[in-house]
Amino acid sequence: MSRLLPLALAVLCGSSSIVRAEEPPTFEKDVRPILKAFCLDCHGGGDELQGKLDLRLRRFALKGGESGAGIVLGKPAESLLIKRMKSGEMPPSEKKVSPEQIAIIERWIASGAVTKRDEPEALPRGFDITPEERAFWFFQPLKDVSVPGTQSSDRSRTAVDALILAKQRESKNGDRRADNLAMGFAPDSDKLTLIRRAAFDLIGLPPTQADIDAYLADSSEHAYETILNKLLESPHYGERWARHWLDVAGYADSEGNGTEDSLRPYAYKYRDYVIRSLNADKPFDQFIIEQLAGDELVPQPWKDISNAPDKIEKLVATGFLRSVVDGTATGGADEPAAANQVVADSLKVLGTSLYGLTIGCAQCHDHRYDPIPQADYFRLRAVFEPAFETAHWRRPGQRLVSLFTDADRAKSAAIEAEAQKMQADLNMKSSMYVAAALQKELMKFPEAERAVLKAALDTPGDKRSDEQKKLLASHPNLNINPGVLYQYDAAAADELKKDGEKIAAKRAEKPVEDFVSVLAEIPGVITPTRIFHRGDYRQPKNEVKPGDLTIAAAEGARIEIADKDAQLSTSGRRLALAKHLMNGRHPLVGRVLMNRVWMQHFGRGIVETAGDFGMLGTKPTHPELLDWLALEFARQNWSLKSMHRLIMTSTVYRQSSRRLDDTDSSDPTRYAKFPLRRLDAEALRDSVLSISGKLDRTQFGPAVPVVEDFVGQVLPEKDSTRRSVYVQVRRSKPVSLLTTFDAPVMAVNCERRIASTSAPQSLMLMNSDFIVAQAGAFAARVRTEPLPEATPEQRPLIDRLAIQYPRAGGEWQFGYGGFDAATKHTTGFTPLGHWTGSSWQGGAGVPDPQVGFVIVHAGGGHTGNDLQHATIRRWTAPRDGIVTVAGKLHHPSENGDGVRSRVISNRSGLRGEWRAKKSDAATNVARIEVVAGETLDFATDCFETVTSDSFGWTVKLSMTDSTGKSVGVWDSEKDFHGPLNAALPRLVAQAWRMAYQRQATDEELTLACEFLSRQFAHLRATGASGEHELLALTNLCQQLLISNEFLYVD
Amino acid sequence: MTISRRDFLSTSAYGIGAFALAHLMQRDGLLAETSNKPPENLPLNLQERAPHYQPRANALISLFMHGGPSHVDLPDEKKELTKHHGSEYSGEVVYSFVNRANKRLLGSPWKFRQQGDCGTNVSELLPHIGSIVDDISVLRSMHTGHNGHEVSIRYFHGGIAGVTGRPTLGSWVSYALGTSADNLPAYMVLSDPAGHPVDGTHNWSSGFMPPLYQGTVLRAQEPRILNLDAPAQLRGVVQQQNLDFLRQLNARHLAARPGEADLETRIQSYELAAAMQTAAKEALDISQEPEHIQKLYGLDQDPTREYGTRCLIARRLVERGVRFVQLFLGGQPWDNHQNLRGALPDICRRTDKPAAALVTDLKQRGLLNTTIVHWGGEIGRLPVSEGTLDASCGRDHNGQGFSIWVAGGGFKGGMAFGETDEVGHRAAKDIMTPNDYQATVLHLLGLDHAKLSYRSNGRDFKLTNNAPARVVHELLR
Repeated sequence: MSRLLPLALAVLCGSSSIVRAEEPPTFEKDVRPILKAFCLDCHGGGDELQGKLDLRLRRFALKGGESGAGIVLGKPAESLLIKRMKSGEMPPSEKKVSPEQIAIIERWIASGAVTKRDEPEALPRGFDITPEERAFWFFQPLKDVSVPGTQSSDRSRTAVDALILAKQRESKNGDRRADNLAMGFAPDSDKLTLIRRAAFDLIGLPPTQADIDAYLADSSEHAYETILNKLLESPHYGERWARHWLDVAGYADSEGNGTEDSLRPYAYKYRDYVIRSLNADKPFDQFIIEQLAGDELVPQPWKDISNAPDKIEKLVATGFLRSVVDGTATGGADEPAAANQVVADSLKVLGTSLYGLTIGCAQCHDHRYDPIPQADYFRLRAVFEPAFETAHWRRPGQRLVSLFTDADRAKSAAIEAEAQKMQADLNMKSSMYVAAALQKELMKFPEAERAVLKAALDTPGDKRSDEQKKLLASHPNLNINPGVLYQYDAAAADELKKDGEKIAAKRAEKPVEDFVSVLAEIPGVITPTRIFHRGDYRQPKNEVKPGDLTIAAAEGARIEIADKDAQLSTSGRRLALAKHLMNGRHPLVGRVLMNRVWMQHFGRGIVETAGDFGMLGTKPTHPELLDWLALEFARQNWSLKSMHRLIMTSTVYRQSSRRLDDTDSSDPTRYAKFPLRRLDAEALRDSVLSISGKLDRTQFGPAVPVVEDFVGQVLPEKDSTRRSVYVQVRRSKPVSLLTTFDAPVMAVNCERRIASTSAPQSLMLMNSDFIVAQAGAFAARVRTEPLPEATPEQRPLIDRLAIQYPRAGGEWQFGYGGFDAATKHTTGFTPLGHWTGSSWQGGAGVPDPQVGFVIVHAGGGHTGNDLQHATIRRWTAPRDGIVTVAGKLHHPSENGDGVRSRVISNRSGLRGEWRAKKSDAATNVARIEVVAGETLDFATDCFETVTSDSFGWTVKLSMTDSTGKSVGVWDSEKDFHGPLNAALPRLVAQAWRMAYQRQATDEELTLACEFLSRQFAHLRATGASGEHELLALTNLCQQLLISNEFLYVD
Repeated sequence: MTISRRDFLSTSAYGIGAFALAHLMQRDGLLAETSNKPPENLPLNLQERAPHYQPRANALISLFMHGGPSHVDLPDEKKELTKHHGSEYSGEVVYSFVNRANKRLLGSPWKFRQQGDCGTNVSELLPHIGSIVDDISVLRSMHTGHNGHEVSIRYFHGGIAGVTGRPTLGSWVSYALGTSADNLPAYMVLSDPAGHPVDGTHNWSSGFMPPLYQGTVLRAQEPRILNLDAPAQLRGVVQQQNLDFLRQLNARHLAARPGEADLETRIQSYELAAAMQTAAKEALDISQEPEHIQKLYGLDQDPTREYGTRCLIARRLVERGVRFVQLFLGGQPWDNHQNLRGALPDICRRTDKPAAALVTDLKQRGLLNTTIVHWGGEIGRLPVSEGTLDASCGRDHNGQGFSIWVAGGGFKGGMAFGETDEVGHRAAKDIMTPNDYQATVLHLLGLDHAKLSYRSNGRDFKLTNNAPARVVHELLR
């Protein structure tokens, strides 16, 4: 009963301000936050004081404004504040004070309007940060947490484990359900699960079979650390973790300027910079500093930098601040508004990525919930102002820095001069040829007319008299120009064309001008930053100086930044802020960064709202752990890879993901089991490609363009199989497969991915061309790659299944043998031993020393040299039934005596016999009753001489059951195949190992063989076109790829 | 004040207090009927299940009019407003765009006419809706108290003004009732060719409920559902065999991982997807409709073809058992800040005929009795001019008072309920909030809004969030 009470209260009061009856509310703790959210904007917080009423202090409220006292002590009903709120008159905005909140203020007034402290004597105009706000956990300095001790029974491996365990104990003490709560960690995952978890986590791809084998075989103590290091050193690590950072940075390959959505052809360099930096484990402080102020680290002018990759790298890094939508890309009427939007969005990205605060909410007014005065927002803007310079706005194209060197430029100019000269020569030659052709043409006219015509032709077009114009118009054959020269003088035209090509080739020798997109200042220009009234850039008010957020430093210790760093050619503002942010003690940045790393590893942040740690965000589940991680990050010299190692070697990471029956492990914040997680969009696509063997592992470079197919699905161009991180992020054309699985469409940035489940996802997996094509490639791999040895335990089952479920087409064998005229049966059938890739024969060469000329191919073959070497295609009945044979024998040559073909059953003997010599014969047999296992031989011999005995013979077998229902069709041409040395169950085992990276169980082998044989039978019965075994195997492979075991990682 | 009373009751005594508290809480719906056990969630699937009591309706089609239709120009004639056109309004106005605030009253430029037997007044901009007034009830006293779009949209969909992350009305309905359409989603959204509506995917989010209860979005163009068709070689028996095999794989995988809800949901989503292939294709095939029906919805005319098609699809969907269908408009065409005279007739022309046709068509099929139709935006518009009062001016947002209309499923027809003040700014009589609307709709579907709860993270949530909400019985048959 009593357990429900806090719940009921929470529902009634809203979770933020629960007030207990015995404690009278105080101004600072209970009332001011409400006033701040609803009233202070106009009543004390802003520049103007509406109605002369200031509500920032109790005594101001008592004093009141133009309409009288704001509150009447002890009498809420008579207090103007309450009356106005209750009538809905105040606040005038859409958002009203809730009845619960009004009730709190009423109770405060009723109980004498208590304050916790004496109010200050004087209060400067504007917003202040109260001790209550300062006391919020996020604004506290990072705490040097001492790591609690553990016992060996705790299975704690790292400080991370110790801190998680401490929290479990702490909450156990405070929870009555403790008996049911899981304590400690779930058992360690098995090695295979662990390496797969680590691989998907670190490289976003399944581990290679070689890595798995090595790890499973490594029994040393540090086997796990070894494989972690290997994964961390993989070039794919950077691709995986860059994607996480690019989400937060809001990376896109297009400007987002309306429907045009122009491309950003050089943005990819920033993406590559992030991948390379992470692969190199660039210290994260340097990584951030370069992104915020890389340009300030490279003295201008930026000439001849193409040979200075370290300089280019720093300039490219500023792409972080060029990621948001830039509506000025195409110009347009409202450039100032669009330009200011770029700045606002960039500050939003900065806020959510590094500060963990919705800084953007303080653009128009003081932040309603967090202690971020509007002035602080603009202080921060001032840091970035000289780089964005809305007063001297540069469109995206104007922010490109050329990588041309002076030498490149000189070379380019020299080539151009040469080309110009060639062009001049060409022009001269061209006029000459035209004149000559004209002369020749004139000669065709009677001599009397030539002079007049020539005079007309020699007169420039605009000076010709009407008669002249008329005259020439009546003789179109005289209208000769270089374009039609070929009709008069083909050789000359050809020569000119070749000369033109030479000029083009010459110009192509010019070095290609490459660019980087850089956020940089305009040397010597620094426009002062002013607070915009209500965030409206058209209403600039007081000037503010650059600095960090007030709340991010101790009281009175706000970080101010110099207007201009005398040592630098730039203002130095961003560099100063970046260095300050990454000094290792900044209360916000370290927590925000490590929280995000934790979130990627565990699917959930210590603070769940990874982009908002403020009052409206969620509280940390493990504040001590978060602080410890933030400090440890700096202690580890900002090595992200060290932090991965630390977290991933912890027991909490190695735990099994299986739910334990007897404990309540459903609460993810207890970390009593590892969370089962769905592959995110990119990992899903990349992993499918990796299993199909089609993944193109090329790294870096311009984005793979995206195209829309005829139904409007957006795909990588030419079905590129590059990793998803290299596929163009076009805001107006998000890749369908990726967005369906929750990849963000970059409006601003993405702080946290969700993992949804929907029917459209299922349809995409079941039916999309992409998945079906990859399943086909996977199936082909299953058949062509070397098969792993079956384990001794599984061999008996595999042998049994192999007999029970033959491969599709396994009904056919190809060989030779004789015919016993007495018994009318085949004698000495021997399968052929050599497969050329398209035919069966005795050996690599024909005739073969033993077998002679015998050849079988899809459409027929060649007979052997004698009657003991008839070429035989043998079919084995898979079941009882009635077979009808329809076929055509063809012998093409006049020479020799032709061939003889027979159909011979091993039960009922000869069923048909035909001969052909330079002729065709229909080889039909109406009705053969067969039993399972019975063979029909389609034998062709040389008759009497073995001369020119190449033949064509195809047969089609239609089988019905005793009721006349069709049960299968065999086509000797379509069914023709090479060696089937792998039994069906071994193919299944191979598919399992490739998709799931584990051995199939006995049950699964049986299940899959049954499935395949069912599909063979169906395809056979319906006479489906295409190769049946590949079709069925493709279907098997597809189901593996779209099954939960593939989509979710333990 | 309730707080301290509860507090008092709980702390003062174990005997009477505890009993009284339980009684109070039960009355307020804070406790489920099964005394002190927290209410359990309904099974998380889409199986059809019984409502709390005998329902009047079993489906709902919502024509959501994003942007805030100008009620004073459409179904809420204000004679005083017309009379005082151009003069300064003496009352307080709640503006959104204070920088363009103006107190000049803007009388409706359009004529109104009493229509039907009931004589409800509707403007000439909605001739077709005007012709069905006897079948609909106009609610003229809607009030969100918030002028903003998103804040009021979320109030209508999720039950709390401005708050995201909550299940939408469609989620609640499909959670509570499941679906009788075996092979179609319970909750479907028909999107507009112009793109997402304002507030994007929040409009059909399932919030803290599993994604099973999220609206399934149909594309605006064919193919309305991507990848609906299997490639030729996979259709029929082959696909059936594939899915059977997939089901076996997934069942084995799940058996080793009991209690992982995501895995179960994924399995269900395959079942649904497979069944959808045939069912959705059939349901979306409007070529099966006779010509006179296509004409009724305006499929033969350019301005109405697109919206008419969607209204017709909506009818076909509820006919096949879909619980909740919502039509959205891209952007917010009703947000007429400027050029009211040009823009408002445009959007009326697009939607008026199809919306009326939907009601007419449902009625002639006998489906209107059991299908609720809702037409309305999240807000209305101010009676004053936004910016200078001239030929090209418009109206600012107004969440203080505006109109929507409802029909069918147990709602009375031929009724006008509630009133705004004399100029149409604030709801004045029989004020209805989105919570009242939700409570009433749920009631018709046989659901008690105070009982229908969903437990998440140790808390019980309700659509109406324990806010004062009433079933507006005056509207019901």
